[in-house]
Amino acid sequence: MTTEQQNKNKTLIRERSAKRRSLYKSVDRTMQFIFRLCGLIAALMIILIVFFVAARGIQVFLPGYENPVSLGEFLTGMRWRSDQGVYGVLFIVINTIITAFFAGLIAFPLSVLSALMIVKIAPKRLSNALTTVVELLAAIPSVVYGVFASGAITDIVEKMAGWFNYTTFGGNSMLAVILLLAIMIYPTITSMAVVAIRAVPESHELGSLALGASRTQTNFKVVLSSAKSGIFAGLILGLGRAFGEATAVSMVAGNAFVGPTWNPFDLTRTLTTTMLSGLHETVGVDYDVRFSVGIVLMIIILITNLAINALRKKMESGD
Amino acid sequence: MKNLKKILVLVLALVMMISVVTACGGDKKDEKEEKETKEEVKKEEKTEKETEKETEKETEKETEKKTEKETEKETEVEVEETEAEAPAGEMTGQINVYTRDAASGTREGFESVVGFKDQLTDNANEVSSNGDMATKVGEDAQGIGYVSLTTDFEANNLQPADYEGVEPSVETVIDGSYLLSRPFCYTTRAEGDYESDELEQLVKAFIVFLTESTEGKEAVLSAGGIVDVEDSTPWDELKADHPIVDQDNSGLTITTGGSTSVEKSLNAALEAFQPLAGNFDKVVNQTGSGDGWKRTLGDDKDGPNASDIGFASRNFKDEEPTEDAMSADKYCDDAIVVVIEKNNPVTNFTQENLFDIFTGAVTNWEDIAK
Amino acid sequence: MNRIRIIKDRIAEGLTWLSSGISALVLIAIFVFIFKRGWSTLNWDLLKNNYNSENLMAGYDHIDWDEHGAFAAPDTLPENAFFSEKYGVAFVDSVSAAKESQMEVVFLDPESPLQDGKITTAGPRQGDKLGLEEGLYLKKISYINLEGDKKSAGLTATQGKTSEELVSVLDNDSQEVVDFYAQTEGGGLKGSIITTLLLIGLTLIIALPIGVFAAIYLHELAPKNKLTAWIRSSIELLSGVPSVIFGLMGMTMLFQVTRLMGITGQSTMLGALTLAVILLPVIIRQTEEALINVPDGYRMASLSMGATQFQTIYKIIIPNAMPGILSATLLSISRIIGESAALIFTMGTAIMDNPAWNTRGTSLAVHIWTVMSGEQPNFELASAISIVILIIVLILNVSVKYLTYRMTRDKDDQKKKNTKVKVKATTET
Repeated sequence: MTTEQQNKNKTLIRERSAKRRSLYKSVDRTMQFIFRLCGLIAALMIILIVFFVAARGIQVFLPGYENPVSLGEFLTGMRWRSDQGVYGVLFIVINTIITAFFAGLIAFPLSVLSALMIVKIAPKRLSNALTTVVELLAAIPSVVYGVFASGAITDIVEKMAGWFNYTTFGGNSMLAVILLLAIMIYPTITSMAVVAIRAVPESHELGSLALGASRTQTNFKVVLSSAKSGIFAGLILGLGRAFGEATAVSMVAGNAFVGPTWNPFDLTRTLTTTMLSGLHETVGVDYDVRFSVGIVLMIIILITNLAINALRKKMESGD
Repeated sequence: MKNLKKILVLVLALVMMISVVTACGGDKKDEKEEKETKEEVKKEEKTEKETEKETEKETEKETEKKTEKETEKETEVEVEETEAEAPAGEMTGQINVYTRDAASGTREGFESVVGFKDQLTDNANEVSSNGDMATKVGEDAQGIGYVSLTTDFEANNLQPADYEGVEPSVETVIDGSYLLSRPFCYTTRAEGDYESDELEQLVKAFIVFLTESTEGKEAVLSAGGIVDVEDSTPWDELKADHPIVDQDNSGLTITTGGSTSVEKSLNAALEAFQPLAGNFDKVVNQTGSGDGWKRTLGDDKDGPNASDIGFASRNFKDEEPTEDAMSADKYCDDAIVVVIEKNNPVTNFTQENLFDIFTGAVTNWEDIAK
Repeated sequence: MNRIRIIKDRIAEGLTWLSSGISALVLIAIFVFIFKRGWSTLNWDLLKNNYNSENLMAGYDHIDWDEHGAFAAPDTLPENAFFSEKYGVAFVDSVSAAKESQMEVVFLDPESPLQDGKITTAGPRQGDKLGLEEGLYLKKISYINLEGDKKSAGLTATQGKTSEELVSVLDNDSQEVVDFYAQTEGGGLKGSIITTLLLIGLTLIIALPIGVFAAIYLHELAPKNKLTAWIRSSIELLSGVPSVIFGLMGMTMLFQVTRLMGITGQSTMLGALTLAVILLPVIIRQTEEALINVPDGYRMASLSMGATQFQTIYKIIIPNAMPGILSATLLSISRIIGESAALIFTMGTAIMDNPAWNTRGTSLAVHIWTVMSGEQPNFELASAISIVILIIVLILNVSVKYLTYRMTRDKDDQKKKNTKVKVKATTET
């Protein structure tokens, strides 16, 4: 083989690889573009939603609107009587936060421990069965949860109220809402936590075990804290569902007209039940004001998410 | 450790088995027992007042039971007498008021007949639907609410109460003696605003069938709508004005929207009309009364869920002007029935009773004026 | 010290078992609750039948009624059937799954004059032969009574609402039958089941790529700045917005997108687009969680071997994030199948028997909504539909898992090196 030929081959190879490289580059670029586009679409959706809700929700406070609602009264009001044209959202906000908080408080530890059980502790068959059950639960339509709640949960609540000498409206109460929401957000948090725990690198665990920690210690101290980000993401999604659930909650909340509710056996009212009750039936200001409630709800969710993220960061830096 | 696991698995399996058995009744024994022990601790700390209350309650319960038994006996012996003289004084305890949401047509009808618009007590339980109301009042011995006459009272553990001494029924509503009722109304799109001229003709024919013909009224009546079938004309005589029904209409679709309460009677009428009018297609897309006007004459009339005929289980409001519609009217009535739990001895309410109860002037069963 | 640790460990482990036990208990209570109420309503006919029954009407103008004599009831008639000797036809009363009274024709004598009806409805089938055949559900029958007036009897008439009454009217009061109005059996779930599957497919096709790509962008490519953080938190915000709002948004905004596809009204496509928006946060969060846990070493190794970023994502990151994506898919399926509030606005509540991607339709959850929102809700039917939903989810769940298991195993066979994580994925899925 002459040097000329060698050179020729070399340049050929160089040209080819250059071509290939430029092809890869362009593929790379287009794919990057597609990825970015998808990210933007996702972000765009939220802008659309916010714009859509805001456009409808703000108009009831504007002076040009027919029978405008006073913004101050709306934000500080403790009565919601749409038949009288009284719209006060503050007590509903308080009720919503209380119910979602306690539902989270009940469901979160149960979910995380169940997830730990599914991934690390349970024998394989049991764990598979539990995973499937959890996934099935997420698929039950909320109206069925509602019927379950108004059939079974309210009975229990009514009996409990009897021990404390309270008369309830057939068990429809804040406590029933909390229990129902806890059940409903359980599958969401659990399946997120399962993914997070599963993804913890085995080396972390092995390291911990090698250092002399027991299996349980490793599970609780190493696995759970490595999976923290995912578990908290699950909490955010779960609380999102607790805030956003309407159909089932409206079947046990009783939609109290005044509040806030401090006694767990009293009727309550959440933002979503307020939005949903009679939504399909109504027109005019009573319809539009539901979007104002929607804005309030979105603000609350935003604040909650920020708070949870801050908590997570604090915990991470604390380690 | 391994043994522990095995034992725990066994225990878990056992718990599951037990739960399967007990859950049927919706009871969870383990939880209850736990709570009971907690409860006992708390009970000891109770003040005298509460114990007083407790004894009061117990006696109340006893009297309740007695009254129940007595009334049962009475009904067994003399059925008619108990109906005529309801022993209103013997029912005791707090009245739990149930109401529908403010947008409901049933509530609007009920409040306007009883005459307490805007004055509903703050201490009321707002339910989300007719069925929700039926289940809840049926489960609450102290409850009172109102539902549509088409409700299955027996299945929901309810008894329908008389209003001003008149029993709710199709006959009493038609002859005007039973006053608690609400209208089922319809509105069509504006003239010339249909997908095709043929569809407009077909809709026109259907409206005549629904509101005037014997066949249409019979179908509505059989599905629970209250209409006077005597006052009708056979379709054979009416159809001469509507030649559209004598051609093959399988390519046409009548789309309806609005109230879900009308769905049953509307479906019955549409189904009865299909073989009489060339097998047109129907899309019964009911969501709620508010959408009835919106989707035919309002904002959504050209949106994805545009409808040819919109329905409302109440009168159309001032915000919902129907002047433009090709036709808009009432097509039948629905009776509103005051309901109480099955064993409640109070079986008749006057307008005054209901006004007091629902405005919160009377909060205990024993205080109801006879 | 050691003993305390062991005790502590046992307590912690016991706590885990206890909480899982409590959860399992509640979950099973829900299943039992649903099955107990719905099981008796569920049967094969309910699954395979159309929802809308065919409405049929046939007349007997051309029949010479004097020709026919009396008929005798056959021995095979069910006990609760009532037989008309004059016309040789038998009916049975029943109640449909929708809790409506029905009157089924269980026997029609081959010699009966009612065999020779002719369809009166305008259309291509007008004049075709149609008798009051077995299996039809009679709604109304018109006859000429002894005085010579035209009367009607049956479920939608004022008299003859039960089989017994109807037969006695026909036998004692009628001279001849003018026409009848009957229905084929309806109330089935076929259309809703097809729509549900269609909806799941369409939504996943739209949402999965966008969601997974968006997650990859956010985690792998996006610069770590305020904008990215803002996008991320706004996506989290999406997860808490009530689905009613998504429905209303879909109705006004996404409708413009489907209009470009040439769809004029509500459609499964519009429902799928709306659901895709609802699902984005779930898919993005789950995928991102999986991405976070792909060790950085993999990426660096791949890049340092000369692979481009896209190759790294395609060959290394996505396969390793597969369990997360899979779990996102399963959660999405659950959400799609359980969602109703948003679909009421975008797909409508009219139950269709032959749904397509560009027509209306109801998913099973919306079917439940329709069943429950009437004046007399039918919880038995709703529970039966829930059981169908659970079965569908179970089948999809198992098949998705099996598919992924196969996929990842094949890959493992090909390259056995460097597969620790993949092995982990397969064994755990």
